Amino acid sequence: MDKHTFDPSYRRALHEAIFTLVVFIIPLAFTVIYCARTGYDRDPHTVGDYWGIPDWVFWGVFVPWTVCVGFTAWFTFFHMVHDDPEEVSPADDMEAARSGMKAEGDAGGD
Amino acid sequence: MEIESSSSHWTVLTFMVYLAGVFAIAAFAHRRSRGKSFLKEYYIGGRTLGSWTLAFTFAATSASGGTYTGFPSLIYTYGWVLALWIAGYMVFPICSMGLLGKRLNQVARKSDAITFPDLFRDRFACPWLGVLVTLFLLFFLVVYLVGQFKAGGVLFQTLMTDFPTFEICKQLLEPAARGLPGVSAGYLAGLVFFALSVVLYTAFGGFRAVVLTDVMQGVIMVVGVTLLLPLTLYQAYVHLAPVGDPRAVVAAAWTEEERYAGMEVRKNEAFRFSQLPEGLRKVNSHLQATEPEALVAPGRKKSADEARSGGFEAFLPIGMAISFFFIWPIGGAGQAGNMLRLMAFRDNKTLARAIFTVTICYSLIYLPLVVTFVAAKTLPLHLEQSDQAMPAMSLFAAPPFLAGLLIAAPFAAVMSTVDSFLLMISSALVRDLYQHGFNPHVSERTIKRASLATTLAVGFGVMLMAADPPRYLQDLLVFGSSSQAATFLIPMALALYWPRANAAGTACSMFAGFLGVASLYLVGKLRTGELQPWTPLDLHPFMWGLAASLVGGIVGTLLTPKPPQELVVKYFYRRHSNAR
Repeated sequence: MDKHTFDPSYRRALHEAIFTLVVFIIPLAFTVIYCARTGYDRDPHTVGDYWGIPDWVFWGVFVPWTVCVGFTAWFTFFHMVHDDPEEVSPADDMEAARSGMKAEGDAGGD
Repeated sequence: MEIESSSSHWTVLTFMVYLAGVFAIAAFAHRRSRGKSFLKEYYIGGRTLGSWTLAFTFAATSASGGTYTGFPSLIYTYGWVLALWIAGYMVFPICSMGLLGKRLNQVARKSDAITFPDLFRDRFACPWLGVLVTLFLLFFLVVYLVGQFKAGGVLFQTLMTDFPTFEICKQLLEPAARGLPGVSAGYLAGLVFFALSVVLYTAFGGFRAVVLTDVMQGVIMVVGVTLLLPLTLYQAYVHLAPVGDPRAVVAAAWTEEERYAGMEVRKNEAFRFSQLPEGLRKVNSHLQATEPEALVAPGRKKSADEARSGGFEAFLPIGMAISFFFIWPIGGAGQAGNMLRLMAFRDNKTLARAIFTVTICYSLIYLPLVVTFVAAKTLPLHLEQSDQAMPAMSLFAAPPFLAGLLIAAPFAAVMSTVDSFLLMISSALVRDLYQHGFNPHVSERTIKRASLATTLAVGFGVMLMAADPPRYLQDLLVFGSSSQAATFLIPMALALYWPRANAAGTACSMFAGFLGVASLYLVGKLRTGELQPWTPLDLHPFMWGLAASLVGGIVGTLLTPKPPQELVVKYFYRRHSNAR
């Protein structure tokens, strides 16, 4: 009898997607909160600058943007698993699936 | 500044060289496709996109005409707050490609899907779901294409005015323009030139031509914007009075001569890199004296309505800032054009490299654009409309040859979006409706002819629609892209990652997402009479649509039967032989 387990490439893709969502939340929270506190309803004459960029834009947008570029480099070159398409299981034999599926967990979903 | 009369022959020549390059690439792609499966080659490039092609086709397709006309116009109008407005792009590549990319490619390979609706149809083995996706897709793409054709027509008109061939075309179209109130013969001529060039190379070269031209167009966009930044800052350094100059606080009393006092002296100074940040400091100092609200958030909305009412309306309230941080990266993941590209790459290493490349590209496009057009606010461009900011700034700051390259950047952005969408519409009609709906055993030769004819017909059909664009075109564009993302993102995520997902739940999710956005636009229309959405809690309709789509998808799925086991096994499980 055949035994079915979750496809490892599916698991990896799912984990990376969840990780990506978490990564999205952090700069969202930082940028919006920082800019809301320092850029909104502020007297324009109190705005300082770094290399000509207003302080709230520099720390609220340019710096996190630079950190995100560094993080993306780490994520894409060191974290993502490069499973080749060949490793992705080819289209499974439907007949075999119908006849003897005993999955690790419920293949029906939930 | 008179933009139309300023476009020199050098500029036109540079643009012609660019256009010739586009056609040469289409011819190369056409030759290379010989002897290969037409459908896979024409619509998905044989699923062999490498890192650079994937990165640039993704970046160029996402960057539309709005990136080089609408966005600079907004910066020119509102100032530094646009840095926050666009901040979501810092995570755009990792989200829009990383969230679905790997899994989308796996599932597309397993199902052998060639088009976007194919993927839904095959994943759930459900033909009616494929038709539903196709109909949604046609609606969104046509709305969006009309807007892009209009942008292309305007850009051509700007560039080609006073050029002999263009003038002849204008005269020929004069009678047609008279029948369309508010439309000029120059615009119609620009539209015809634009449509001819983009439709022909797309129809001729197919997907491979589109992605290869995207590479060239992407490079032009990045290089153009990167060069424009130092040129603009240098002009600000030369033109503006030094920081701390007492005249900076009496800006209202400045004469043109006083404002640019000392310009000749600074022009003759030797160039130093320190002049660039100094130029930007001068810009801020100038803004503090003349338009201080441009230095801070939320920006004051400038509309004819507000001018009439005399009220204050914020350009970017906090709720909208949060919404836009969602809209760019998460909404980008839900655009069908982007998802199609993620079906076409070669392997996961390609995806990883492309994500990083797009991150660099967008950093080199969006951050410099913000700085450049904040600086442009203080330079003597004398624009009639803020939409002219990009070509005006190019002609003001760059030498003619380079200005031609810079003006080619928005063309490249519009063309790279239009060509991709034309192919998607063609594939939706030929592959998804005709082949799957009426004639599954159609020959490849017939498909080939039908695809070419459809691409041409759709292109020229959209050109006719753009000849008299609807009144609320810009609002329609925003509605089209936000409702597209709200309609497709959650259903695709559920299809890819949730084994329990089924066709009925997916359809519920699509309708809920679409209606979530559309209903807020409808309420807004009823309240204001304009195509402006109602934004409860200052959140963009996309946010509400996305939430509705998620709830609709989960509830719709759980209330309907589980999907067939063989489908779940095919897409989520690996079979091990375990004979005992």
